[in-house]
Amino acid sequence: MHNTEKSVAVPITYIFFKSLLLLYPDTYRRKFEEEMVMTFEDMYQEKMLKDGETGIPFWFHIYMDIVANAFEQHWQLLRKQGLKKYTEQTLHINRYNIIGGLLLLPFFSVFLVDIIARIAQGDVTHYNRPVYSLLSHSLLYWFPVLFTWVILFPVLAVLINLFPLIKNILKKHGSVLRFDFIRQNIISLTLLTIGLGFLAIILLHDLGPCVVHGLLRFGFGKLPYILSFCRNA
Amino acid sequence: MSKSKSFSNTNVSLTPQIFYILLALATKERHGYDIMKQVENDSQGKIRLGPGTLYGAIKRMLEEKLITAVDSSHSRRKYYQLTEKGRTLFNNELQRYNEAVELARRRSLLGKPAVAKLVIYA
Repeated sequence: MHNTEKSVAVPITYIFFKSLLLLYPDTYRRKFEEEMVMTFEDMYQEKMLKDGETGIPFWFHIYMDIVANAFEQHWQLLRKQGLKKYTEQTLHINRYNIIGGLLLLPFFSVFLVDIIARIAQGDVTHYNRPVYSLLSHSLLYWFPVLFTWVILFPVLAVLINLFPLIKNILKKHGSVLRFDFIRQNIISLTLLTIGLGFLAIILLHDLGPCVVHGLLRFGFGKLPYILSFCRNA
Repeated sequence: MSKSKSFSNTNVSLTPQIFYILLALATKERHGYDIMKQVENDSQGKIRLGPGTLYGAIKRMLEEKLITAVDSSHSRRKYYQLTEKGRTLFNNELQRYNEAVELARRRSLLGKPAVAKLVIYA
């Protein structure tokens, strides 16, 4: 048992444990990840040999142990590095991400209210009339304000988050598709995706629900007819 | 021992986890899982370290230079061994335990299990 050198033949448990280790700061993970995985594999194999199964208490113990310790490592790093350095170097959040996040916040809030209201009425394909009525009579729907948070802010958020991304792409050259690059730019990539998603919603917000409604009612066989109908609707 | 307490003073008291890890390494160098099993055996199952807690403690002990990592020639595993500082700290802790037990014995407290347990973990 102690001399196990290879991964256990249960990839799901291995992937689960490796995913949990992503909670740790990069520096810690780089140093201890391999050893922690080997130790976990030994624990797992011993448990399987002893009991023939792992069970919920085993996984709960592993989960709580990793989460609590990862939090502690982040806290120690935060105290050591200070908030600014920790945010930039450990969480990979830069000032462009913060500005981008703030710019997307109004759209996100209204979008969330709209989704919750649609779910509450039991029909996601149509907007909730009372909530829409309330929102449309507020300042948020006065055209200059509406244009700002619906179009201008998401466009600015996308552009602002493209800047650090392009800078990092130029710096990293050929290693853009590597996991480390994606992980280090995950906030920029997420904000970029959300921003583009919001713009897509604006362009397709009438078409989208109409197509979903049509597909639910008539099935995929009638897709060309549904698309044509919804475009003209 | 609080998390921020440094081991620069070798008379500082240890957490049960750190004490049992030092105890496991006092006899020979060991790798992570071996330490984990030894701690569980030595503490009669009272202390069960998960990989997170174990490597959190190992990181701290490496930073404080209580232990050092040794690469193995026949394995990918990293082994850990006590440094002089670690051994001194461990011996001082044992001495403190010993004195506490002696004191308890002189006061005839050792026959009372609950009190004996309190003295050991004081």
